[in-house]
Formats: sequence, C-alpha cells, structure tokens
Amino acid sequence: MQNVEKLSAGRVRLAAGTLYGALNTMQEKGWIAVYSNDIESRKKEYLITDEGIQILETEIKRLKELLENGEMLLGEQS
Amino acid sequence: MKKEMHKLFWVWEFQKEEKWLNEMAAKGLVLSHVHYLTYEFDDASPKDYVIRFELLKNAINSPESQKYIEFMEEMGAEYLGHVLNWAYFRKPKESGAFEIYSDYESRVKYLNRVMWSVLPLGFLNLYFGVYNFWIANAFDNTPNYFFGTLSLILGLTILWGSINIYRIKRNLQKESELFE
Repeated sequence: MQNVEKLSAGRVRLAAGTLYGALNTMQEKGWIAVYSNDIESRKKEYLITDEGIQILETEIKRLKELLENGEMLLGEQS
Repeated sequence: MKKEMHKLFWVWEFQKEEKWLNEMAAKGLVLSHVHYLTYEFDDASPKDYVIRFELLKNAINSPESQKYIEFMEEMGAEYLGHVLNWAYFRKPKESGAFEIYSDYESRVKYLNRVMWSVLPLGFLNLYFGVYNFWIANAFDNTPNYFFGTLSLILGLTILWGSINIYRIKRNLQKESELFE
C-alpha cells in the first residue's frame, strides 16, 4: 500500500478493503498465488503466476497503444 | 477515563455515524470498543485516530470475515468490535490515510451491499402493512389496523432510507463516468 502511494507520488491511495477485494479477485482468476502464509506474523505473501505475467504484458501493451494514440493525436493538433 | 455512550443510528445514517465518531475522536474521545447500542470511548489513547466501520459481506463469525478482519489488522488497523455485521476499526493518523474503499468500483459495490441489507426488510414491512389492512377490512379487526399502520410506517421509513443510499451511489457513479 505504501509502495503504491510512493510510486505514484501520493496520487494513488490503495485502501485496505479495495486491496483485499483485488487480491481475492486476482487469486480466483489464477493471476497470483499464495506464496507463504506465516501464521506467526500473520503476513501473507503472494507471487505472480505465469498467467498473471501474460495478463500483465497484455495490459502493458494495451496501455502503450493508448499512450501512442494519445501522443499521435496531440502531435497532429499542434 | 472510560466513557460509555448509547446511541442508535439507522443503517442509512452510516456517514453521519462515522462523522460523529471522528468528531468525538478529534475531541479526544477515541472509540475503543463497540457492541449493541453501546460506544465505549477512551481518552487515554492519543487523539489522532481515524475511525472507520463497514458492513461485512459475510456473517461476522464466518471464516471469511475473520480472515478479512485479520487482513485489516495486518494493514495497521485495530479492530474494535461489531454490531450485527458492521465491523469497527481505528487507525492512527500518523500511519497514513485510512479509508476502506479507494476506487469507484469498490465503493459502488459496497453501497449496493448496504442498500440490499435493508431494502428487503422495507418491502417485507410494506407487504405486512398492506396484508394487515386487508385483514382488518375483511374481518373488522382493530388490532390489525394498529399493526398494519406500524408496519407501513416502518416499511416507508426503510424505503426512504434505501433511496438515500441509492442517491449516494448514483452521485458516485455519475462522478466516475467523468473519468471513463
């Protein structure tokens, strides 16, 4: 959560309930899996699955396309 | 010193309740425990706490809810107790902002959950109200007029409350459309 805030320079704040829902959804879809479940410290760690990496790559591609289109259209304007 | 207060809020007054709890915290009375109709405050703890509560998806004693509460604790929130399926938390301000839901999608989903927790009760009361009036009419039975009126008033109140929650949700959805 802190990392997300730092990465986005405070723009994005990921709240606990939202994060919990997102983790569960990603786990159900098989994009992430539980890596370790330390009962003592109650800290749960996840790792990204092969399918998750594939989805992530597709999403990055989609965002790149959006970015390129945006820059191209802006370039035409000026 | 501990202070105990008894107060009752309707489900659709959840924003008002949260505001009240945080105003109390600002005054130095930090919520420390919650159970039926009772709020316990602690003024020994530092003033700077944020109080949040939410209607859980599953029954409070279910493993799902226990897992969720554990997760909240892992995120630095302190669990203060529950009333029915509503779980109460607090978190020190210095550890950063404390919200439970941060994006439109999860907020809208949550408001739906709150709305559907009361709406069926509203309809049920309206149904009983009309049914009692029908019986009262057919058999000239006065107690049924009394219970019918009571049910109708309660049903309409709950319906009105649900509409309020629906409005909050609509406004959020309109706001989110700006970003699509």
